[in-house]
Amino acid sequence: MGNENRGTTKPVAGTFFYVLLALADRERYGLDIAKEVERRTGGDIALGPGTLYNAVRKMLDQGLIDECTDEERPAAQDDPRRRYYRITRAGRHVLSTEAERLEVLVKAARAKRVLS
Amino acid sequence: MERLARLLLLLYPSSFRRRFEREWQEIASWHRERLAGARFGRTRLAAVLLMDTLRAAPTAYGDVLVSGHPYLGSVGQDLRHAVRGLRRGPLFAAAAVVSLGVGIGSNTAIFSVANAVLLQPLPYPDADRLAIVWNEFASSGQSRLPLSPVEVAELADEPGLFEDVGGVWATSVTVLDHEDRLIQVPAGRVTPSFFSVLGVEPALGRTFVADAREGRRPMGVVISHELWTGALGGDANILGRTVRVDGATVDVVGVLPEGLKLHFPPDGSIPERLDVYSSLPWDLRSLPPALHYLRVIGRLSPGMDLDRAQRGVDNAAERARATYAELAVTEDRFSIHPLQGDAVRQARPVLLALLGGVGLFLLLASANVASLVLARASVRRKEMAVRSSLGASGGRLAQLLVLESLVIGALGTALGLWLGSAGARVLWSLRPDGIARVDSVALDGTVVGFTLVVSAVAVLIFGLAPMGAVLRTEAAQVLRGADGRTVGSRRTAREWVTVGEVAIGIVLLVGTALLGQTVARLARAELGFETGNVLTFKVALPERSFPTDGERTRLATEIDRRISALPGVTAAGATSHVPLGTWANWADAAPPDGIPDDERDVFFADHRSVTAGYLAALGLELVEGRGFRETDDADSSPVVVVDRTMARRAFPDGPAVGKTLHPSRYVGGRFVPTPAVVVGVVEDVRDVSPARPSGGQVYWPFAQSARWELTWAVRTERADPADLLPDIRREVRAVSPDLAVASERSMDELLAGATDEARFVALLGGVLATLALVVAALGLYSVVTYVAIQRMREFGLRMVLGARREQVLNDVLRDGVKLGALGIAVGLATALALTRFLGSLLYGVSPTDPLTLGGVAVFFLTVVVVASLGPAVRATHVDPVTAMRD
Repeated sequence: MGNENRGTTKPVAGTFFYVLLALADRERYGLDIAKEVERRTGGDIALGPGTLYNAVRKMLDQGLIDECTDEERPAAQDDPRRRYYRITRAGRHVLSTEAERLEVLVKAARAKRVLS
Repeated sequence: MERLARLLLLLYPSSFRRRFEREWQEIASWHRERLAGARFGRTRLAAVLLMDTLRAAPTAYGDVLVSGHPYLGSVGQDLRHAVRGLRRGPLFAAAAVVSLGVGIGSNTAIFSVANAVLLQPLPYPDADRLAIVWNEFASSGQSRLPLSPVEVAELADEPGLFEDVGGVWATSVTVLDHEDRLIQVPAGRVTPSFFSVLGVEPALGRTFVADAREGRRPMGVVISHELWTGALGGDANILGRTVRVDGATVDVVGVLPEGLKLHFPPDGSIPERLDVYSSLPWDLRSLPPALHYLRVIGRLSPGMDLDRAQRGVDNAAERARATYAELAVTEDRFSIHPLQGDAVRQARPVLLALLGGVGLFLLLASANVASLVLARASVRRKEMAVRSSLGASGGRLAQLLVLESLVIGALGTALGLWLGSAGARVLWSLRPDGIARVDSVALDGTVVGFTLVVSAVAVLIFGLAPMGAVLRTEAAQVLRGADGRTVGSRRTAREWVTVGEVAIGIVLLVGTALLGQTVARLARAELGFETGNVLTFKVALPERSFPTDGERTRLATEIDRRISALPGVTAAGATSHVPLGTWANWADAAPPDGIPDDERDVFFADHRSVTAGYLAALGLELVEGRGFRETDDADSSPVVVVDRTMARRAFPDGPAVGKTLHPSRYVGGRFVPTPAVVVGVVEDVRDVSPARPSGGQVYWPFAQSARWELTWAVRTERADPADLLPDIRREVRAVSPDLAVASERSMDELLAGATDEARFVALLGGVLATLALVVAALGLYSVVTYVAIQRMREFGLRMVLGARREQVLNDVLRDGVKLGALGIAVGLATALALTRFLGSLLYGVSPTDPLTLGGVAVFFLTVVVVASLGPAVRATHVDPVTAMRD
């Protein structure tokens, strides 16, 4: 399986990374995550509902993200049935490790003049 | 699109749905908004959601299964393997899912229409107790004729037979709408009990039955909801109001429920909606006993079965014969049928033929998928062999294959349901009138259930059939590399599948060719009149406004004269029954001199009353004598023109002109048998349908049989006959402000309407046959290619040894043609056995027409040769050295 990253610093699959990155700055609910991912990738990645919630389900299982309790929910004007997710410490660790790994790769690409 | 989303969601495990359904939907809606307005937005949305589900659902299942059940862990794992395998061969997966989806979708679409038309009960309470009664005139061989009022009274008197029985007769009336314009609307004369038989309660007011039961004569009219809200302006106080109907002022006593439809068989000549109903008197025995015009329905008493009901109506017929001298001669008996079965009896063979066609097509699609699975299996033999030698049991390998089939099947079913519901809507919009029974078709439980069963059968066919072939492979043999290099004389499973595909293609093509010829022959049928550049329109001459025969004759003559004088009109005339139009037929005995009473019915003929210009306007050819003149008026001696069939029947031994017949004519408000001299004989006209020859017709000059409704036929030089309409409306209104023009159609439109059903079936057959042809040709092509590749080493060797290119070419072609020919032979034999079920849909061509069968065979053989040519030519370009090294 491509998504096996339990408690390790192995590379995480694309969807996981996108979701973690979307949650890095604040709590979000599903649709909000999908919109943020689309925004951050310049419209390239529009996550499908199944893909997103499969990832959410697994990341909850693996402790990379958490569901917000009622007190933690950002705004009260929202639909109370909506579920908000936030990134956990483990998740933040995976995210930063992955970002650093990507940064190393991007630097390498620059050095080889793949990127200007 | 919501439907697709709901269907896709069903593919996830229930735990996933419970937890994420609402949010899943929310994101699906976001995608919809995102793609709205984009090019191919709907298609792209469907693709995004479909691919997303294809990726996510199996993983979700896998995880669920693994977490709960240790054994099922292998299923979960294999499911993931299966999905990954399919994703690695996206072309294979797409081809399989699409063929299956189209196959299942076409079945779903046709079945949903068949379900709505044939299986769903009519929209009346306890509809299964409704029955329809017809008159059968054994002596003249005429069947399904209406009943007379006294016959209805006898049926009502038969103890224990009906809870209630009533009849209806359709005509038309003019109504003054709320803007003071005259409009012509379909109207019904009904027995007082008609609506209570159907179990219909009025939305407002009452129907006639209450009046009648209290001994009052039922007065006033009951109107349709649509007339009330439409032409009458939806006045809330409609019940207290009067309306002008046929120039008279009548009270509105009731308004029927919205959307009420009458479901009579198409040959009953009762339209789905009548707008104005008036009642016959309560005492039906006070009406003329020998006029047969009521289409009769009854609500059977609870527990009454059809056999006992038939005995009941037999008793009633016998009593009627014994009681009324006028009925004693007709030897009539009644037949009784379930209303629903009778109403759809013309649609049933059409739908069954289509169901048969799509069933065959699904078989073909399944065979195609089986062939794809086999092709892939042969590629994957090594993989299987490796797995097997690493210790995977046969069961485990089978499980992997079954799971692959299930995944393809599930996706194909989802696609099929979606295509099916879209297809059903398209079918519905194209439907011919004969199939119009319900307002809409829907994917209800029955249809979805049917689709699931059909899909399960398809998955079994394509999933299990290839399994044997794959599992039988000896691991050692494959790993040694010995497989696939020799071609034995035994046909492989794939070749048999191809033979089956070609055979099914032949059957569908033969069926379509027969239907196509039917359409062509109907279009060319000798109608007996010329359809081009003829405009028709109806004018009612209500007897309430124009009570005397002379008045109606004067109006008809005046309209004739004014319209003939319009610029661009070459001929104009009117008839009581325009060919291929909608009307309730009037037929009666018209015996020659000296025929005893009990043989009169042999000379049953359609009654037509026409103005002087009619024969010329329709281009009816005179074969003997003369047509009508304006001098054939009410004061001159009665004359008739008969058609060739009637002339031959009444006067087999010599010319008809100058002889006397005794037909009925309409004078003083009644049909009266009158001796009349035959002055002319005209060609037969097919006026019910292009497929139905004349049963004998007698034409009266309108002046001598002045009925209450006429349809004009106007032959014109104008390119579009409809251009005449404004002038015609003006002229008709100038003759009398109480007249209205209605049902404006060109003769070509009437003809097109009459052949709609045949064209509809042929069109759908054509689509199916084309798909089948493509699938079969592709199947053949891939098998021939596959066989040719397997023989490459042999070809290389032979060419090294001096074989010429043509010999290799011939070899490969022969492989293809042998397979094709076998398929064609099997297909022709099957077609011979099956096409007789098409019998009732065909016209002018026999179900076993040798030319059609031969033509299709030759055509298919050409397709076979063309499909084999590609691989054959490629085989001749093989480099011998390369071929032998590989």
